[in-house]
Amino acid sequence: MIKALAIDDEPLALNVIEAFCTQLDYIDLQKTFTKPNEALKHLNKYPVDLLFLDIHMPSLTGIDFYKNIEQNTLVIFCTAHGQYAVEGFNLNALDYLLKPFTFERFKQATDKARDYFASSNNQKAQHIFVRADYRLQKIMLDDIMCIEALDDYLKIYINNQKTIVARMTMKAVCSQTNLYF
Amino acid sequence: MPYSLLVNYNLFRFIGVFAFSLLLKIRERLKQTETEKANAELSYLKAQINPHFLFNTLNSIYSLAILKNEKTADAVVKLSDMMRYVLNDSNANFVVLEKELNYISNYIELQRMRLTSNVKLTYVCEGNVIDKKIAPLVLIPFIENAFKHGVNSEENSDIDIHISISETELKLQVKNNCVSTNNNTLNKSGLGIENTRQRLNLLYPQNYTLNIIEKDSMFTVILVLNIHD
Repeated sequence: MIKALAIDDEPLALNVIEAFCTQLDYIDLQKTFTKPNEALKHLNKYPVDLLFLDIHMPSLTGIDFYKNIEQNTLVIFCTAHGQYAVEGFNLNALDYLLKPFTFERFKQATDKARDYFASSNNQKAQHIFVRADYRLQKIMLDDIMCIEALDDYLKIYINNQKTIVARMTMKAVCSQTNLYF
Repeated sequence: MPYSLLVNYNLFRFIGVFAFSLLLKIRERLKQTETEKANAELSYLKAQINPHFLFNTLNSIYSLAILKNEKTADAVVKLSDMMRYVLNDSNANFVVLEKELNYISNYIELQRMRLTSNVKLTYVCEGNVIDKKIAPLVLIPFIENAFKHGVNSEENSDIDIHISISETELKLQVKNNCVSTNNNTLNKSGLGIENTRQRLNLLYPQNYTLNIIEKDSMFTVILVLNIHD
């Protein structure tokens, strides 16, 4: 799940994002804010993966908001005005949605976010740890030829090594590697 | 050279230079009125449709539609009434006052649905509108201005708009807190008001008073138009 926040000074605009996010099973819209400074405080305590950010807000523009956060969060700008697009992309925005936008266009943007996290997670996970023969064993993902599920156990066939039988479920392996089946 | 001829010559030179400088001055003045007129026309054109307002309102209506809110239909009618007025009626020099006031109330109601609860917006319009006329879109810039500078989702603010009509006069009073806005729209809107003032000079010469008071972070505009024929 991609954890997300939405920030817009107009409640009606937030309703659109809320409605669209409930239609997507991979986005977890945790909270919405009409006050950008409140959102900043929240974000410092509870980091998220993705922001839906309005640009034209009187107290703090979306551009300045995004410049103010230190964590590595993806941003999709949502605005009724095209003139900020260039600056938005200068900030490495994932996408730039012009209001009003359709669900299809919204999904196109969030799909980019999903693809981004899928590929970056795959890069990180190059090995898994399994508990077998009374010790923790590190197995490189590239060496695994096949994994066989045997109830609560897994049989892992490894290139040029002896096969390991570990007390572990397929689900646990998947969550370690961020693989989806 | 005879003395009289010399005087004549100098006189000629003097008159020539004087006439030339007068011509330059007149030309300068003409140019100035020309630009003033152009600015006034420009402000008029700009007053017609504010793209920020239009797209934000469309997005608000879109939001209502997605949530199947019963106010959706009403909002569409309000926006189309506004567009029709701007496209069909506002080209005339003077329009029926009732139409202008409808335009204003539609604008205010559409803005109201976009606001968070920390803005207290009141709009009162009183008096008899029948058989009265007004220059189109001269009031709206002052009302737009109040929303531009009186709305910030992180601050509490009041916007009071009061229109009263007597037999001879229309009085518009707009009062709002000046909230902090990070963008430099303050200068831009100052220009907008200046352009509207020029339009008033053209349309209501000596027939209006405009007072703008900025005090203790309250912004007050009082415009009185003589609407007697």
